Amino acid sequence: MKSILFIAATAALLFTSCKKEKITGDPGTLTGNMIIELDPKWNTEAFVPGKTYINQFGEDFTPSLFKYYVSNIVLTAKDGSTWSQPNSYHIIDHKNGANELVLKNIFAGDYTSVSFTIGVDSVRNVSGAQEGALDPANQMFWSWNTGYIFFKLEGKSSASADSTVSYHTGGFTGANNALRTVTLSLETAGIATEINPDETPEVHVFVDAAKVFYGASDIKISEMSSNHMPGAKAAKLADNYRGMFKVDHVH
Amino acid sequence: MVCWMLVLTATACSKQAEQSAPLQPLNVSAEGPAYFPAASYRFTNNELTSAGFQLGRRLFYDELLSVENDISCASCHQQRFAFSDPSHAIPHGAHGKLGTRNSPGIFNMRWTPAMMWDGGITNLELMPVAPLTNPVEMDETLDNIVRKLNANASYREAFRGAFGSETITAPMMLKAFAQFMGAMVSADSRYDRFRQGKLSLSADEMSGMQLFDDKCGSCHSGELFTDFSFRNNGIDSAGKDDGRFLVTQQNTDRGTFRVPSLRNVAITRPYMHDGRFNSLEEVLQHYTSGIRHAENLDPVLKTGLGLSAEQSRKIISFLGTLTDETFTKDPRFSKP
Repeated sequence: MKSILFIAATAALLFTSCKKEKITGDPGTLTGNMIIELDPKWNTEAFVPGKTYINQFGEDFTPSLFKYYVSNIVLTAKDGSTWSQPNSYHIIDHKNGANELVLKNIFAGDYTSVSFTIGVDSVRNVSGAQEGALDPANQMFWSWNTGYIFFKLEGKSSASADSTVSYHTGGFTGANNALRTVTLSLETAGIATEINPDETPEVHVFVDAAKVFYGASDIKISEMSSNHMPGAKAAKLADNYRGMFKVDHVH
Repeated sequence: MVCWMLVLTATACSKQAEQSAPLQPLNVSAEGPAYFPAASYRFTNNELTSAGFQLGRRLFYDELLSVENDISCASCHQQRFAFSDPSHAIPHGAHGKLGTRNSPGIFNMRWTPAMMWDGGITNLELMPVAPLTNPVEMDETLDNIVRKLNANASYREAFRGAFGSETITAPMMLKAFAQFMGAMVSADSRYDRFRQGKLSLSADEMSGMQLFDDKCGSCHSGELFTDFSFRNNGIDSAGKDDGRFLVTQQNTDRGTFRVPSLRNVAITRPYMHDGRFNSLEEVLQHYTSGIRHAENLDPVLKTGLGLSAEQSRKIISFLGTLTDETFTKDPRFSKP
């Protein structure tokens, strides 16, 4: 155990000095994996597209799409060192239950928190045509005002004048910046989550779609049933949904 | 001369090449003259190659990319008009739907930091997504275009040649487009030859140039004849189209539009973001006596340009020197 700690500490030191280069997986260093499970909820209920829910303001809402980018995942260890997932861009599409993110080759150690961005950072927003999660064909991209759509929640509601609800957010510059960073604790009763080669901890995160409508500010469907561009409304949505993530348990 | 022969050879081979042999390599330099500013699109992660350029060219002219396989990019961007569309003020797209803004010419895109009339697109590789997917233009989805391309053996071959991949993806298609459009350099007008000391301009053109610098040069500045800013030029007091506001949500941008390059301007009518003016005479008439007060009217236009008929005539004479027939007739950019 001592030697593992020593290696972890060395790794942490090495890593700290290399942080900017995002070097991961220094050969000879022990690594492990972590799974983050994103489990969609409506308050305490399971979130199921097609099911009708009632929001904080008594408005009905029947979701059809709940989709967003999770990017730039960073783990912070007890000693303050960090591990960053390389090329960390993921589309989470809650069509059917939970989605898993598998983080690989994390330096062994005790990690106290995980943070990530909801959306796509400004650099990748201006880097031209990209493959994979950032492919503009993923329908998370605005063609007429170039940039990624960070978050989509769509559905139906009798509170909406045209019966539809369609919240799309994005925007990465100045006052229109809708990028939000979420930091979640990985400590259970003060004990950090351990990464080592033999065990893969699973972090169960509840993602509460009901929070899109309240939290930082109230968003009533009757007053705002859609948004399809960067701006104040997108920022308001982002301030709410950054609060929808909560670690339920780690095992 | 050698280069010209290559071009001819390639053109002659292109039909047969669809079935068999790869296309002859083309000279696909995308360099501008020394007096152009630094380019904003630099082919980063998208090295310009003959195969990529040829593929982009083929895509540009292919109607397969629209929802009903009947409209190509070239439908509204015709080479002999510097890739603009003289016959429609606003585009006629899929299912006969009408767009809202005039199809601009396509040239010197590498030096255009923000594209479209509202500057909403800032990377050449992402530019085609808008017309390809706009319901009033080609109305396709990227997904479906990629499906159609992957179903075509000849395209799979062409993409393998350009990008070395067995499977075609949307980013590859967009990169091919960027290679073709990025290489569309227009810098051989009579003005350029004058600039390079190869010919002289007429007396009218010369005095037109001086008038132009004086009256128009504060916005249409530099060798691209634009400062790339967004301005309200007083064509409407309260716009039907909010222009750049739609992109930035800033009130100061309401009713502002991109100051276009004036290279090839004589052959890229109609003019203004909605194509409302059919001639340069009408445009200068507007700047002389047609300016309407608007909330964000550009300060330099408050009193109009005050051009006499004679001055307008000379300015238009100078603008004619910006037409680049080498570009409009360059076989590399023609329908393959």
